[in-house]
Amino acid sequence: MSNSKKREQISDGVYITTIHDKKFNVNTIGIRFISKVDEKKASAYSLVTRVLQTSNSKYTTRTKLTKELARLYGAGISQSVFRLGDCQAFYLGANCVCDRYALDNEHITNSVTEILLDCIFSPNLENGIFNENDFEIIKRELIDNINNKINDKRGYAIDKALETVFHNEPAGVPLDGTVEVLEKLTCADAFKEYKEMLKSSRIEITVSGGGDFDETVRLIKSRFDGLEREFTSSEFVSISPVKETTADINEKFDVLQCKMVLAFKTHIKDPEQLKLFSLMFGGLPSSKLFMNVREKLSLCYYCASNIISEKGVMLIDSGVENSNIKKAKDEILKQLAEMAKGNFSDDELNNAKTAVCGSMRSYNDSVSGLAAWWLTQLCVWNRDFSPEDAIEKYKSITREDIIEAAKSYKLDTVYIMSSDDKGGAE
Amino acid sequence: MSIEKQTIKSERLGESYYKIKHPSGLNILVWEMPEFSSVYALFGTKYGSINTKFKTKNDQDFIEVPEGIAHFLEHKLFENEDCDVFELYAKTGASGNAYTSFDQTAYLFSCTENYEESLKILLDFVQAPYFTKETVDKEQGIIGQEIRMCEDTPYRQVFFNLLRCLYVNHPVKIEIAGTVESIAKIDADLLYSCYNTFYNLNNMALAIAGNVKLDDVLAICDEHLKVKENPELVTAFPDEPEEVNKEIFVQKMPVGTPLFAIGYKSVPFDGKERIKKELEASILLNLICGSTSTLYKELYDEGLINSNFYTEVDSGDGFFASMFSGESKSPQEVYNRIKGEIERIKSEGIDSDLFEIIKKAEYGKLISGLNSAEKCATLMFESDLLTGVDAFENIEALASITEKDIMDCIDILFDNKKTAISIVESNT
Repeated sequence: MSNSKKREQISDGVYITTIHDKKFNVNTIGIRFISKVDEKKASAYSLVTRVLQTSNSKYTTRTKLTKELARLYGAGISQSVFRLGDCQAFYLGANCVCDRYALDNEHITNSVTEILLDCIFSPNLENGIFNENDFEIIKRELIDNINNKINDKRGYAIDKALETVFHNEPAGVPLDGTVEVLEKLTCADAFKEYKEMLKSSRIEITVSGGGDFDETVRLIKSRFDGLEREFTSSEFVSISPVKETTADINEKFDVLQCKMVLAFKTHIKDPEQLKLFSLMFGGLPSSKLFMNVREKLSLCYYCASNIISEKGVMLIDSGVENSNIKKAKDEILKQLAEMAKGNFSDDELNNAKTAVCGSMRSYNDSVSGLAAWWLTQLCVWNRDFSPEDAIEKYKSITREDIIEAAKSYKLDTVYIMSSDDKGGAE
Repeated sequence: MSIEKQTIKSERLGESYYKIKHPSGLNILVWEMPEFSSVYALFGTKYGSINTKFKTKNDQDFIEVPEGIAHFLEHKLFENEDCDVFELYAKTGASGNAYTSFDQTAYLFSCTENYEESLKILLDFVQAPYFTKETVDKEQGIIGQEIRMCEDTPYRQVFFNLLRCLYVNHPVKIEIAGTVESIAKIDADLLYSCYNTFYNLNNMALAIAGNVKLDDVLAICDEHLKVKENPELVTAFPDEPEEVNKEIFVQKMPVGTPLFAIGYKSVPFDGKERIKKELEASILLNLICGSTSTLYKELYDEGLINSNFYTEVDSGDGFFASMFSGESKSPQEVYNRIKGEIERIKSEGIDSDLFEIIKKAEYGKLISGLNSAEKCATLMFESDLLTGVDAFENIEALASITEKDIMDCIDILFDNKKTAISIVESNT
């Protein structure tokens, strides 16, 4: 391993993690505002980070900002929102090529970092709040984006399933909030929420890549120094309670292929045990679901499992013909029962271990991968746990652990999107 | 076996890789990246969805095959006579996959250990086809679902509908996976016929990057490459007029805001000229309506486009198109404004400052494109297989592009008489 990692707390609930490896030719500076949110805050914070992304007091329009970033060798400032257990992380980040590629000796990384910090701490204001016109355009765009989620049927089906899976839990709050809340949100409200986001969120900063980061880190620290903070920490890991009766959701859409999402829940809190099971079950081309639902029965193009280990949830999603829904669902349940009976070979277990250990090693070859890894470990799981530590842990997982994981999963929610409002049953 | 070895270097980037012309006819490209843990390899053929008509020295006439057969063949090659290729990769820990595009089929793996064993698996299975009626029938169901999934994806529909507007005859207008009807015509004999024609080492390339050693790669190649007679493949494309097929196509399906794709058709280019024209088209797309342009700002501020707006260039054997895509409540208005801006630039010239900025951004994009074993291997593979030029040619071509070059090609690349728009809007 050729990378080095350094972490420090720079203020109440504000942490900076630096990951350096000279082999990389790009740098990424990521700042995440992490909070347990309701629909109102989710909507406001998502909108606020979108507003911050597009301008600052120096580059007051989207075009001016984009032009300056393009001049810095096509640097970019990006925004996203993702879940971390019961919390949501509102991300603003910058990426650029390393200074060694500058044609005129520009300090690319520090210039880009300053632009990002200005976006966050020195936004383009008018009468003490965000520029009203810009705000309205960005708000309209976010509302359109939420309405456009249906364009990606697979992602939409998973989102809809999760709303039911996490009903009445913070994890069930939709990413980007809701159209209803956004419609009512004023520019002044949003500005208040922006101040609140800076004050009360947990803030996780990562600086990663092939650059020399001493000056970059100093720049970042200096801007967070005087920030007023009032922070109470949130728990990230909380197991989602399984429903007494499985929830069945059917949505009718004019689609040629049905989308089916099955959500299972477990009480097990061990992320490596759950991950290895998920890989064997439906996470690899050699997994039970790929080999049986796709290859043997020819029912689908994809049938994959993914886990949200902070919540003890496993999702299986697939695209199948209307008439094959029941057949596919039965086969998935049958394969889970087979795993619970221990009907898998030592080879299958060892192959999954080999695959996951390989993917752990490959984290060290990706700037964004390393940043994401350390965020999850240090923040969500509260442990200093490297990809190498994970390899050791995976190697120690036994056949009994896999059987225990399989037995522990209970079906919680079934979501079906089809052109037939009975969910394609029978 | 004697080999011809070349070091391909970029002084500008301080990077290099090896290019080997193997006696078997295969071009082998190796980029040693000892500081990385990963290895990424691609082995594939210059054979994609557009190659539906061809002949070899043994054929008198051209043969025409069903749409989607290159992609079908890609799926079927993963099944050996005695086992599934994924089971073999599972033992070495590699993650295997494949893709078919308009003009190539590539088989790939990534791994962090035992790359030698995985490379042997890759070379062996791609050279050992095994098709039977049963295995072909089984695949119809899986690919049928892949096709249905694409048909439900509005982004894909808006793109292919645009190609069907731009192209009258050229097979770039057909879906890569074909249709449920066309793949029903595929059988084992047809698959063998296509395989024997296109999967010849003279028509293929192997690219591998990451924590590898040239000598080890070559030793494995010497042992596992099967020399076959060169069938002297000739591919043919129907005559394609310069004009577009139709200027507008609207499809209705469940979407939020309408999606659009606006395309400009140009005559095609080959080799180094194609690399240069792709970059010039990309610079022009940015000058006309990239996120740093005046038109982009106007359209954005008027709510006619949103930040999902993007541009791209698609080119290959016999086709070249520059595209603007996004979401809009008034795609027609966006279309008219883009046409107007093109005419304005043609008469008033380009903004010199913006041209330099866009060139710098393109340079940064090319550097970021060398940030992993995957990206380096893919760049070497596609440069060699598709254009026959070296991987660093793009960065040299970019450096050489002048404002005059841009003004010289705008009439060819952006002709308002050779353009079309495709729209997907809600059916409710």
